[in-house]
This record gives sequence, structure tokens and C-alpha cells, in this order.
Amino acid sequence: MLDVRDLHKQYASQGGRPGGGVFGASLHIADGELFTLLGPSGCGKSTTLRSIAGLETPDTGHISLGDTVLFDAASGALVPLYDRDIGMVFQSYAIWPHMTVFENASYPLRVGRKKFGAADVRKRTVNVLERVGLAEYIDRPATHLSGGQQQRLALARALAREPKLLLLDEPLSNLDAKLREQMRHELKRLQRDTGVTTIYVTHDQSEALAISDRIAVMEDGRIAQVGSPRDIYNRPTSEFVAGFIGRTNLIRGDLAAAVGGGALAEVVTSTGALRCLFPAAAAARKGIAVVVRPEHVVISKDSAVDGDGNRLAGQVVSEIYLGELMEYVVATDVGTEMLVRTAPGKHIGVGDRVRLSFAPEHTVAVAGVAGA
Amino acid sequence: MNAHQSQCVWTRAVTGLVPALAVLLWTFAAVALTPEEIATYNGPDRQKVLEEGAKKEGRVAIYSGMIVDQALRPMAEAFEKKYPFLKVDYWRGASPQIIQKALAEARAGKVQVDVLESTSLAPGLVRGGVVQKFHSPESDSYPKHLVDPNSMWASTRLSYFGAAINTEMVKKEEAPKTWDDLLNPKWKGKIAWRVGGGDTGAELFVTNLRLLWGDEKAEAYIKKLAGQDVVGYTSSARQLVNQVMAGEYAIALNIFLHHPLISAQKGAPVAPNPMEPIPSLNGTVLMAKSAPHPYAAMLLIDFMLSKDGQETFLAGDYFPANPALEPSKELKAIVPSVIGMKEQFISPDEVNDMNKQSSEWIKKYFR
Amino acid sequence: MAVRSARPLRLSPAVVVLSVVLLALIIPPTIFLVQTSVHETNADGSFGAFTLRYFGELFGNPRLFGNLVNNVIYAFGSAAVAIAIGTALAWIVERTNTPMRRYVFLLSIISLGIPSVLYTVSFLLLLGKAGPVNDLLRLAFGSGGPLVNVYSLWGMIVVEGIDFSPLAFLLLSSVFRANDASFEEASLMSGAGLWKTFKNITLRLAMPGILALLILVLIRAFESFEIPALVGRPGRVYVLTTDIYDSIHTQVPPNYGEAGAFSIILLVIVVIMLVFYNRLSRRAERFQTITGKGFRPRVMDLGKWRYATAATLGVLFAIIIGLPIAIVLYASFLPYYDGVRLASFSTMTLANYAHVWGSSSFRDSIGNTIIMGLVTASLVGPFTALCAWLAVRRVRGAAFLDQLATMPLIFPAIVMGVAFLHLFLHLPFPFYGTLASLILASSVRFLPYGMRYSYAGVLQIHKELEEASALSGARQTTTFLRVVLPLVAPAIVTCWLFVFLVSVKAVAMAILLAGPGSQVVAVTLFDLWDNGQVTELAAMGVIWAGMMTVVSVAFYMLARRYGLRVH
Repeated sequence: MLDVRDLHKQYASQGGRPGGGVFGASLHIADGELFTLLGPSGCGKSTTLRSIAGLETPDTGHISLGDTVLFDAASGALVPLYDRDIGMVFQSYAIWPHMTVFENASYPLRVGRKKFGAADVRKRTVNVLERVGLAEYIDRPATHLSGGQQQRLALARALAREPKLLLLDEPLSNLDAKLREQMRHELKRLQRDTGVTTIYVTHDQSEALAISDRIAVMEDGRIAQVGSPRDIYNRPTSEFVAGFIGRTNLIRGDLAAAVGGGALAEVVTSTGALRCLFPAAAAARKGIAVVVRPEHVVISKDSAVDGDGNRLAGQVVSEIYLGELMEYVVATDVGTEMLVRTAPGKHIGVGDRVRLSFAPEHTVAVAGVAGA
Repeated sequence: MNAHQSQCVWTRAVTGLVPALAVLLWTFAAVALTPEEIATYNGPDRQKVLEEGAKKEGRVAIYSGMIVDQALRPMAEAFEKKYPFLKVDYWRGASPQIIQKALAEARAGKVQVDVLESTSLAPGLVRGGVVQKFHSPESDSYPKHLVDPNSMWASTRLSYFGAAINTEMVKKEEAPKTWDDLLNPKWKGKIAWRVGGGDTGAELFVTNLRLLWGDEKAEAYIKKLAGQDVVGYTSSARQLVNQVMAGEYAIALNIFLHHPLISAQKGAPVAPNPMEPIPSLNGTVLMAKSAPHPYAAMLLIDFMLSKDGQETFLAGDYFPANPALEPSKELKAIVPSVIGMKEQFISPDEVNDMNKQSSEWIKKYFR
Repeated sequence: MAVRSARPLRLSPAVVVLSVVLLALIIPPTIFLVQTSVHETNADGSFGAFTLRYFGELFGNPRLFGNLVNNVIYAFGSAAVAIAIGTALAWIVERTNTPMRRYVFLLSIISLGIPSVLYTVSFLLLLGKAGPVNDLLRLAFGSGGPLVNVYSLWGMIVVEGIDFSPLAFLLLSSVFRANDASFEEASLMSGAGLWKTFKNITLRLAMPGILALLILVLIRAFESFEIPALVGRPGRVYVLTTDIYDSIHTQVPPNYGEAGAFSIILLVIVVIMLVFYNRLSRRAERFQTITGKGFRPRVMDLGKWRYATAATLGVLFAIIIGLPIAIVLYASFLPYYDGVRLASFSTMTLANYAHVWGSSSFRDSIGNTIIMGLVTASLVGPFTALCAWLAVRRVRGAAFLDQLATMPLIFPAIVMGVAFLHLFLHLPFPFYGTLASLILASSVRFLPYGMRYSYAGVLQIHKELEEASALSGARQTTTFLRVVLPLVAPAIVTCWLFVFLVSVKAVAMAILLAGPGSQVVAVTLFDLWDNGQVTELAAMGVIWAGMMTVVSVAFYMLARRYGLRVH
């Protein structure tokens, strides 16, 4: 439904730092999808979002929403931002302090090209405010709302005229942790209920994993990987993505011979030979990266460990109690450190000698080059 | 009809036409008078001619420096009473502004003013070429020096200048009587005069002495006066007198003598201190070239120079130029002829011509 | 949906229209200024031969360096005084819970209602050799002891600084009012004390407002004639304008050549200052305190300290308003003024008030004056709001609008009056001498002040508030009317009040441009001053300040009812 092709936008460098931007991003988002742009600051996610909104004009590329071409550099087409059928929630909410909740939420219905009658405006606004749970505050001045409520008001405003596309620019980053988690669920539910195609921008990978249908991980203005949360998490195609999403252990080794996609093969590392899963085909080479998620590492004080998984032995150097998990850092006998997460109650402490094992399906080779 | 009868018809026609033509010509000639002719018209029917012409005009505009409430308005109202068919539009401003406006209007070809009146006005307007000759029989009785020999201006009022002293700081015996008295070290730092405000303050003081003694002696004196640390005050003359009254200075030089007189009569600790020769200046009235209402303008000028007219602005504490009028009783005490002191009348041209040099000396010695 | 070509290189129509309007208003006086500075003036007032002698006289003046040094000290000194007082007052009133702080606003209005020359004179009366302050000092230390000499450089600094502080207060108060308290609270929570918070947070955020003020005061101090003449000259303190003032009056017709040359130099300086100012407020995001995120302008609770700040308010008041008003009131009841003495109390009379009220020239001109003030303020406020908005949002070409609207600052009022006199006389329709002509000239004169108020106001609005409006489907005009104007309204209201109060006092242009039918009160005031009728001037000043207060309070209440919800 939203088609973005080859988007380029270069910012001029300022004071020695090279300018950021977006360099050749392409996306295709289906109707009703909740699509997330994820990445560290400066990766180009906001620029992409703002280009779609019309707040920025890209240098080259093509953006179309359904049948409408919003931007096309080649033909010179550019739809001004007030004519795009898009709703947006800003990071700072941008709630107008001089208006009431009603006036804020109903604004798009009152100023847009499409004219609605007063009764209609009232009805639609009450509806959308009920959806976000703010109906009882309808005539209060907007400044009387708490942070979380203002965020919901921003959402109501964005949805008021039932736009084709909803853009959310780090909407939860200003909330405290508990509220943030609660809002994640609400947002997801709201999006499901209304079915509006949504693009969500965030730097918080756990948030992205929690709510998205699909995620695009961005780095330095380019899209590193697009996929479902599971794909991104379990099958990262670059070291960057692997390191960015969740905590991970990264081991380097050499691949002796070419291997096909989906096959298991041996990678020779400093910790010994590991049997790894190759989601994509790979040629023989040195310095290939392999990742193991901490929660996939089985830790035990017993010397006997079952299965034909990869094995390591070592000594615990630190432990952290996280309530629902324990986290251990283990110094392996070959000198590397491994991060392990496991359920509490195993009676393992600092200084204990332990055995680690992880299945080949969980030892995933990454397509990235050493050092990249 | 026989030849005789037709001859009679012709004769009658001709004898009827001639007077008619004469009247026509006469009226035409009257209407076709140029402004200059109107202004200098001297015929026995002058008053009638002016009034008839003014009736058609209906208004007259004057820019004057006189105070509105006490002088300008009463004068205008008295004039309107005399000539109910005329309305006076008056505008009050200081001389520099009056000159600015007159020059600007003339250059734009949109002259709105008819009559101009103020002090320090004539040279600027005459040299700017924006005023014209006029003659009013009212000024025939004036002393020669109060009417311009070139007929460009006539005097409406007079001003006398001198020093003012604070009576608490300066005892009667100590009051300076001669110019050298001002050099007494006792007054060092306690004398003030007006600078930068045009030409009736310090500049006039210097010009007065130059006319009296010649430039060489005057300059020598000024150099000595500079040793007295005379304070330069930028404001109206009246305000400087107020400062003397308040005790900021003991002596103020070259202010309008009637100001301290009036205040003294109210009980203020100040007194006028005239010194010989008392410099006197005149306020003048002029008529604008291409005045839009020349007939009414002449009537107004006549009125302002007449005894009746001048009487109306006595209440503004002005000294009338008309010799038939006495200055008001309260103000007589500083008129030179009344108190028996020598007067030195300084004509507008003299003031203007000598101003530059006088102000340069002030800049040179008193900075 | 309208589709237009990407990368539009043409200018926004709003910028074009506004530029044309501004150019039409400002180019003619500027041309006149340039001509005046490089031509001789003939006896009939027309321009004569080309000459560079005025520039030569300016730079060749042997006292140039001394005058320049004095001027710089005077300008920066008075700026420091005005900004210090204004900032302190604004902060106490808008950001704290000091008791009685609401009255500051009212009292600033009153002080702005007092005619300028009267204000200056009241300080001179207070601090003069024969004034009450010196009398007290003589009483305390005997006649050989230290005395205050107001006719000095510091006297000039104090008088000009205090004269300017109501403006500083009004401008900064509208800036502080919009500060989100959370910025300061965050600082306090991090352990910084009140002073550090004030210095690092409050002041930093108000920096564009303060710099704007700095530009205004500095330029004003450099081209001011009156205070150097009234206060400096008697003490032999000379600044650049002292000689220029003389040069105007020593010739007939008055010659504005040197004044013009000086203004041209000031123009260059103003342009440079504005470039610097623009660069500083370029990172506009740093000053955007009106955000859409939890914006609640709360005041800080000072606890016990609020009595100390209340006392500070009291002292500042006494200095800025209390004492001058006391002296003016005192003088207004006297038949003549000869210092502050107990004996004078017995001579008190209402004669001055009777005279003023009975003067039909005063009463007749009140109507004209109020109309002139209302219309001028109502033109300047919204016009500069629009220009400022375009400039702050960096719309292409809008920085030029800012420069243009600030240019009138460099014209001494007299020169601007003469320039407009010529312009109006040459118009093909009757305009010269009308009230409308005076309104137009006044509006141009006060554009720079309006611009600085509006700019500071717009700077505080977070860009996202406008982006959200655009994304809700509103076109630029709608966004400006529904989002920007209401949020910048507090700044505009303050600007309106200021322009109203100051334009009705302005004399220099009125004495040239007003005709017989369009007389205004300022001229009557000036006439009284010129005639030295100080006591009557005092009475008129009191009456006038009273009337201005009534009008201002009425306007303020009206504005509150309709728009000022962000308070």
C-alpha cells in the first residue's frame, strides 16, 4: 500500500560532522501492517518518516500511497503535506496548549479540505476520543492532561479523519517504563481494531519486537534488514543487526567450504569447531561471524551434558538477578566470555565451574564481514 | 423703421453696452489681480477690494510660533469675529519647523500656508524664495527699523534679552551690571546659557557684543568669559530660568527678560538682570508666495499689525511692535525705554549672518 | 489533490507581498537620508551640489575619539542598566510567586504613559544640585561632603537606562511568561540552586529576547539627542550626536547632512548586528519553550525568599516609577518650581490642572491622539507577527523582511519626520497634514520594536506545533491564524501596549507632519516644555498618564477575555 523506492536525502555537513540522511531506502508496506523503522539515532529512520509525511522533501526517489503518487523526483511530482491523507504523532506530541481536548482532536476535521458539518465533527471526535479513552476529558484545556494522556490525545488527533496511513515518531520515548509497556499493548490493540496502516519509528528494539508486524533495521541511512520480529531476532543477516537487536554472543571463525542456505556446517573458531546454521548460502571464507543468543545457552554445573550441541566449559565471573531471569557472564576456558540467561533457581554462583551448551539451530551464522 | 430710429437704437445699444463693458472689465480686472498686486494694493478702496476677494476665499491658514492658548487662538477668534465670513486654520510650531514646512510645500508646488509668523523666521524664508512682497498701511506708523525696506516682512512683536539671577544666591549689590562684572571669580561655575538651540541664547549674547565692540574686542572678552566655566544648557529659555529659580545656577545669560519678571511677580526667588545694551529682536509676519488665499491673507496681516489685533496677544506676554500700544503694565519693568537703558536692536538679517561665527567661538572656547 | 513541481524556487507569495509593502514604506525615507548625507542644502531647501563633506566632518572631528568613547560607554552602560532591571523584574513577575507582583505590569504602563521629556526632567529635578537627594546628602554630610552630580556620564547612563527599563521589562516578561517551568524544575532537581538555575537555564532560554533588547537599546543610545543634550551637555559630556544636533540648528534652513551621514554609518552597524543575531537564533530549536509536551507555565515557589524579592520589587519601583511620579505630582501643584521645599507646600494650587483641562487645544487633540495610537499599534502588531513568523521559520527571503523592518531604527526621529514630510507632499492625492499620514509615519517608526517583540515570541513556539497542524490538513494561512497567532498573542498584546503608549508620546515627527486639523497631544506637551511651563507640563503629564493607564487596562482586559489563555 505504501511504496517507497530508492529514497535519497542528504543533509549538509555541519561543523565537521558529516551530514546524515537517507541513502537509497526502499520499502513496501502492506495494508493494515504495523511496520517499524528501527535503528540508533542518526540512522535515517526519522528522515524517512518525515519524507513520507512531507515534512522533508527528498533529493531523489519515489513515494506512493495506494494509487496516489506523493513524491516522484523524476517527474517532479510533489503533494504538499497538508494534502496527504496521513496522520502523525510527534515525539513531543505537539498538543496545542491554547486549545481544549476537543479542539485538539477535532482540528483535522475542521481545517482540512473535506468539510464536515458541526454535528458530524462532534460525533467523530467523541468516537475517536472514546477509542483512546479520553472521552471524559473532552472539554478540558489540553494542558490539564498528564503526559500519557497527551500522547493519547495526539493519537486521537492523528486518527480523527481516518487517514490511510498513520505515522508514529518515537511516541513512547517520553513515558516512564511502566506506562511505556502498557501503552505498547494499547497501541497494538488500537492498530488492530482500526486496521490503519502504521509506520512506527523507534530506537528501542524491545519495543519494536513487541508490537511490529515487520521491522526494517536501519544503519547509517540504509536499510540493513527487513523481516518479521522473529526473523530479525533469530536470523540476523548482519553483525550490526545481530548486535543491535537483543543481547547476543558473537564468535568469529573460518568456513572451510561453501554451504547452501538452510544447511548446517562447521565453523572453526578459537573455541573449537562449532556446528552452525546457515540461513543463507555462504562461500568459504575466513572471519565469518556466528551469534548465539544468551537465552539459548544451557548452563549447568554437571559435567555430563546431553545432546550433540556445541559445548564449552568455563568459570562464572559475574551474576545478575533480574527477577524473572538470571544473567551470568562466563569466562570460557578458551579465553572468550559468554553471556548466559537462564531461569533462576539453579544455584550457580560466581566462581563455579560450569558447562555451556547450545544447539546448532541456535548457533546462527551471520552474513556480515568481519569488522563490518 | 426709418434711419433716424435705427440710429437711436444703435446709440442706445452702444450707450448701454459701454457701462456694462466697463463694469465687466473692471470686475475682470479686479479678479485678475496677481497675488503681488493684492499684497501691495494701495488704492482708496483697498479694504473693500480685500474683503470682496476674501469673501470668495472663505479661509486663511497661518503657521505661527505664538503660544496657542494665550495668544494665537484669541487672535484668531478676534479676527473671525471681525470677519465672520472667514475661518482661520492655525498651526503652531517652532521656527525651524515652520521654515521646513514652508520650503517643502513650495518645492512640491502644494503651498497650503498663507501667513507665517514667528521669531528667527525672515531670513530663512526670504532666502528660500518662498515669500512675497506685501504692504500693510498698519505698519506705516511703525519705527523704520521694524519694517523691512524690501517689504518682505513687518514686525509683530519684540523681545528683550538679558540675564536672570537667583535672588537667594545673588544679593542685590552683587548683581552684575557691566559685562566685566560677569568675569568675577565668585561666579565661576555658576553661570549658564543656552547653546545649540538656534540663535537666541549664547549665540545672541556673542553677536550682541560683536555689534557693540567689534570682533576683536568681543573675542578677547569671550576668551576671558570661558574661564568662568559657563555651563551650556540645551533647552528653552524659559526652562533655563526655571533652573535658576530652583537654584541650579546663580545667573543665566541672554534669556527673555520678561520670564524672570513674571516669575518674580509670582513670588519666585528670581529677578531679571538687564545689562546695557539690551539686545532686542523682533517677531515678524510674512506672506507666502503663491498663497492659496491672498485676499484673506492680507486682511489677517493687517489685523495682526493693527492695534486691535496686537492687543489680543498681549495676554501671551508678548511685547507689541505697534507703537500705539503700551506693553502690559506688569511687563513694563524691562522695556529699555521705560527703565532708561540703552537698547540694541538686532535685525533678522544681522542675527542670521553673524550666527555662524558666534556659534563657532562658543564651540571653540566653551567645550 | 494539487500537485506542484518539486523544489519550488520561487518565493512564498506572503514574503513577496510583505517585502513590497515594506520596501514602499522604507525606501523613500532611506533615499532621502542618503541624499541628505551627500548633498548640500540650498536656501530653498532643495538639494544642491554633491559633497562628501558631512562624512568628512564626522570623521575629521578632532573630538571624534573622545565622543565615540563616551558614546560607547553610554550605550553599553544604559543597556546594562535597562536589561538588568528589566530581567530582574520580568523574572520576579513571571516566574516566581512573589506577592504583589501583578502590579508591576500596571505600574510599567503608567511609567510609559508619562511624557518622555517630563520623565527625564523629573530625574534631573530629583538628582540636580538643588534637588532633594543632594539636600539630604548635605544634611547628612554637611556642605563639604560628597554630592551627586547627575550632569555626567553616569547620570546619562542612569537616566537612559531607567527610561528604557519598562520596555525591557515588557519584552522579557512576554518571553519569560512562555517558559515551561519544567526546564527550571529539572535544573533545581539536579541540585543547582536558584541563582545557578536562573543563570544557566532561564537566562539562556531568554537569550534571543535579551539580545533583541540589546540591539534596540544600543542603537537608541547611539542616535539619541535628547538625553545627551539635557543631561550630558551641562556637565560637558559630549557624545557623537552632540555635534550633530548643533549642526542641524546652526544653519537655516536646518541642515541634516551630518545627521544623515551618521545614520548611514549606524545602518551598516545595525545590519551587522542583525546578521549576528540571526546566526545566534538560527538554532531556533534551542529556544523553543512552548512545546506541545506537558506545557504548563508554572511559577517557582521561592519560599521565604519571596519577601526578599518583594522588597526588591519595592525598591525598583520606587526608583523607576515612584520617585519620578512623586516629583511630577509635586510639581504639578506648584505655581512655579524652585526645588523641593517644605515652604512650597503652602503655595500648592490646582491652577495648573485647571489650565490644562481648560485648554481647548489639549482637549481637541485627545481624540486624534488616541485614534493615532490605536491604529498604529494595531497595524504594527499583527504585521510584524507575520513577518517574524516567516523570518523565524526561515522561509526563503524572509530574513530580508527582518532587516527591512528593523531599518527605521537608525533614523533619528527628526530626520524621519523630514523625509516623510517630503514624501507626503509629493503624493498625487491629499495626504500631507492628515492624521492618516501621521499614523503611517508612526507605524514605520515603531516597526523595529514590534519586530523584536514578535520575533522573540515566535521563536518560542515549537516547530512541531505547526507541523502537526499542517499534517492535520491545514494550509499555511490556517496554521498561522489558528496555531501561531494564538500562541504568540501574549507577545503581541505586550507589543501593542508598548507601541500605543510610546507612539502617542512621540513628538519629533508629529511637530512636522500634523496639520491644523490633526493636532496631537504630544505636540501640546512639547509646546509646554518649549515654553518652560514645567508645572503645567507636570499637570498635563499626570492627566495624560492617568488616561493612558485607563486605556491600557481596558485593552489588557479585553485581550485577556479573548485570547490570552496561555497565561
